[in-house]
Amino acid sequence: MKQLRTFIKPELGKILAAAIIGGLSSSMAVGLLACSAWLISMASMEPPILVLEVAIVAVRFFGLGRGVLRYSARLIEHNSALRTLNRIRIGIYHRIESQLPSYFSQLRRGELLRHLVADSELLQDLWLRIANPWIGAVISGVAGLGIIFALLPRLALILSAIFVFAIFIIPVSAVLLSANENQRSEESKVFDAIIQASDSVQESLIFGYQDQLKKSIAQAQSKLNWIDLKSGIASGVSTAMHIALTGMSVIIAACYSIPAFADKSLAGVNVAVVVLLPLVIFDGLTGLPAAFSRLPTVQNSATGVDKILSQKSDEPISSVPISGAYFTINFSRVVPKLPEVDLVPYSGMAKPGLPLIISGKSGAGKSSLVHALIGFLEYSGEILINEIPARALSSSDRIEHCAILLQQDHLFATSIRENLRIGSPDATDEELFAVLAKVELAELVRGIGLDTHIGPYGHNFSGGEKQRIKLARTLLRDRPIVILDEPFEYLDLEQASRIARSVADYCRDKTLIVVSHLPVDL
Amino acid sequence: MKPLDPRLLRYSRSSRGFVFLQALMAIINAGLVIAQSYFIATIVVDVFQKHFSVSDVSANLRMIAFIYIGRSFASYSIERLAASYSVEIRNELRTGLLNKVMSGKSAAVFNEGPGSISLLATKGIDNLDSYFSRFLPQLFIAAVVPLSVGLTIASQDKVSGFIVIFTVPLIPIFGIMIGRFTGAATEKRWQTMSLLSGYFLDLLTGLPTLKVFNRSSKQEEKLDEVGQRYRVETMKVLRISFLSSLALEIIATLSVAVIAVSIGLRLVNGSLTLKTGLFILILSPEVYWPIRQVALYFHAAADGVEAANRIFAILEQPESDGAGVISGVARISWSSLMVDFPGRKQIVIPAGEFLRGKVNIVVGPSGAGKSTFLSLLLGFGSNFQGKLLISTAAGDADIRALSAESWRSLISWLPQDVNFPSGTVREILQHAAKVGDADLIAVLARVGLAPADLPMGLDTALGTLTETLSVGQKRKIALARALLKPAEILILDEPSASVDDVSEADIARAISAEVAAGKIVILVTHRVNLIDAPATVNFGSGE
Repeated sequence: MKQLRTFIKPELGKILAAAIIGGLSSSMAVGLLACSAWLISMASMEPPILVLEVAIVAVRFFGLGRGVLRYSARLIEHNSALRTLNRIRIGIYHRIESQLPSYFSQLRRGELLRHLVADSELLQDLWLRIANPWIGAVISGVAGLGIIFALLPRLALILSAIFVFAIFIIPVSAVLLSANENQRSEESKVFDAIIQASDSVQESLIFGYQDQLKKSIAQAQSKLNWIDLKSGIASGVSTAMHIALTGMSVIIAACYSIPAFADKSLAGVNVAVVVLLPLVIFDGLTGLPAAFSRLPTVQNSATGVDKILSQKSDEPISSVPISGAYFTINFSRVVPKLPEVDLVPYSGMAKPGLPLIISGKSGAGKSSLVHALIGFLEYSGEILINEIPARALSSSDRIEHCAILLQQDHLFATSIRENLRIGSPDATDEELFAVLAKVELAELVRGIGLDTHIGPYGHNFSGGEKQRIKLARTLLRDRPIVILDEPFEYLDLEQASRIARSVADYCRDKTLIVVSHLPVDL
Repeated sequence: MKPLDPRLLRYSRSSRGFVFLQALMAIINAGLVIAQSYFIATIVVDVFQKHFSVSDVSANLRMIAFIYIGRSFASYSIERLAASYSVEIRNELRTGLLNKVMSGKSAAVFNEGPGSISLLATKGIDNLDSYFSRFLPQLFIAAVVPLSVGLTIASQDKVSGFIVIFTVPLIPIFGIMIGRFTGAATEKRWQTMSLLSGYFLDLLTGLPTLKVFNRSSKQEEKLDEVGQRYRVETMKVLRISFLSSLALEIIATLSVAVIAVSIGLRLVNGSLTLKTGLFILILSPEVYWPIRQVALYFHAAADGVEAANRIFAILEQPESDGAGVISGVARISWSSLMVDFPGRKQIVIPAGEFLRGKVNIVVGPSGAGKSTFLSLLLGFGSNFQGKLLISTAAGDADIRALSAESWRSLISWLPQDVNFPSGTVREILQHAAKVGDADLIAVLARVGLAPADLPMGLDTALGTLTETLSVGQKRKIALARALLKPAEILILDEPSASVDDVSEADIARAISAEVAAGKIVILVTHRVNLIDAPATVNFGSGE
């Protein structure tokens, strides 16, 4: 958790302050009860009204103070939580961004990212739900015990022992009794099973394997149910303990205050105070069992995030940037290194006027060649860029000269304009439409507008339309090397060859590499 | 939001027992709280005013011990019951939802999309946990405890009773008023939070893309900026919602303080006994506390209820299924079909027909409705205008009049996006027909795949995260599966996409064999040169 701690540290002061203010707020509740018990006992002795006035003012002060302090504590801790979350997000992004090659294969599986996002959000529970309420419980408990200590020290010592026991044993038992399982990984198994089932409703009905899908969901779910049940039991047991300890303390308080009152070491008006205070001393513990039963889950998330944050940055390659506008790329007996797959060595050459078309059997590692070229994958053999070994150049120095369309390129959930401008940040609308015309999208986009959103809440683009937006974005990035991985997927043959011609025309003076399983005519 | 939706009782049988038990436990709890306060007040007064010794009050102390044991057992039971019922009820809802979705009988459900269904069935339903294990038990306590405690107070002291009657309604009234006032803000809070995490996920998913545009480090600043903006927004909203709970808390505390002061003043002039005063003082927070607590759990529960509402909406979608059972299909024909799609303009499919003994090719530009039409043909979606007729020797029948199950038993299909369940190649092929290895190898050979091409032969695992097959190999297996099913109608969606040139001839041969065997073969493809002399249906109205 070392790395994670450095991310929380800047806000630690504020988080602690919020915990203390929260504790003071609960202490107000202690004061409120003590004051009212004293007030009523005193009143029954029919004293002059002025004596009571003081207690009445104190009751109101405690009543109002409690709410106001609680309000400020919550504001401070939530603000810190959001700040920290933001910092952690940036940290995660930065680590993955700077070491993309090592994450590249994992990134394709969306679930890793989904967990990472969920984990980082769960982290704030660590202090919002667990640490701060615990600190608050300790503070208000100490306040209550302090009052008892002033009135009847012997009793305070015994109640302190019970309180210390409670403040540690209740959370610990909640943690120990809850299923110490990796809840998140079980959750993702269920999610995967369900998404698989809902993804293949049609297939499973046609080929009749629905029962198998349902069974695998039920299996994954049963483990999760068990975890839920265990944490319910854990929190129940701890709550029961909490109530039992409160009762015990009330009885002990009564047993001690009665003889103390008899031998005059405890004033009569304070009997009610001493007997009633145990009721609130343990009040702060109320929410803790439920919160602590979730601690293993939160810890798991913290470990997951910490693992990402602790990754050492890749050694930067001290590469001499290459320059120029004329590039020759030479593959000689290149074998991208993929786990568990042996690929056939590939050789080929591309230069302006001589495009390289990488075609071949599916599974032959065509895309992996592209990834090797731009430094996302290790390889054996040699790739030469203008006679310089690609290995001697950092990934970003290589990419600087390239406009690339990846097979799994992503369209962001934002407007068409923003998506295209990733290719060229300063492009005017006119330039955008010019490139959209090359991929036969100008008409459509003119109709719906450049501000139309892509993604779940935006326009429902078809696969072919999305593919062409991605292609347009790549073409906008006007670079001497153009690498297109399966650019014509989802397009019908006629449209594909029209667009291929326009792309080839645009790349006449550029070094063009196209990966395609379709025979394209460039 | 309705605190307790009657639909819940309808769709989840377990919830009935749960509601009953929670109500019972709440009543027991209320009784114990009142008894406990009574005995504590009695002991204090007996000691303070009557100078009783420990042995004099030992009977009452024992009562307190029993009450605490009872309360501790009751709390355990409430949490324990809530946990197991929560699991049970969520299971029932999840199963109901998945059965509905997987039955394929409701077009509207189908349009939801697998992503949103999966989220609803996992996160959405899990959000209901705080509803069942926190909110609902508290709701019953809030319904029972304040009422019984309030009545007890009123029976002991009319003035305090009046104060309670006038102040207790303030909490729900203010709660509702504040809720109205802040409802939009609270909604916005959840929205901004989920928007931000969506944005973050989108950014991480697209990192390779940003990287190849050398834009990834610039995006880091943007992420910070967006994060700060969302934080400020969220804090604005939080301030309002914390203020509203502050208001509720102050009402509750001030009410208790008013009661305490009024008791004190009346004790001074001797119109109230100390025992009554103390009893009421201990009891009075119990009137307000449960109501405030409900408000506290309300937001967490609201997420769950929102999910429940969406699930109920899906469960209430009408199902359509016909009863007709046919075989020996000779011809499929349709009038012009109009299909409404949420979020898109209406799709119009021109009239046409498919014949037995021909390769029927469907062509048309992307977005012309080819996939939609296939979906109708597969028996998913009855929500279209026009006629889709299946002709047999016995006459014509509209597809909507057929039993979906029996109709689908006549169809085999190669989907555009293949999605295998977990299993070996052998198991997956055997879904189509229970045949031996020799037949499986034969059908794989027809699509140009030998067991030796697969890492573990027929035992190669599919549909797992570690699978090693390429997209093209998977499509070939899916094609083999489609050929293997003894069906009358064979629908192939882009059979040659992602498959290398070499095997295209194999595929064309396989298709011709199916036609010769008397099947209706329907082929959706961009590559018309795959087949000689096809019957072509063109969906393109001309671009």
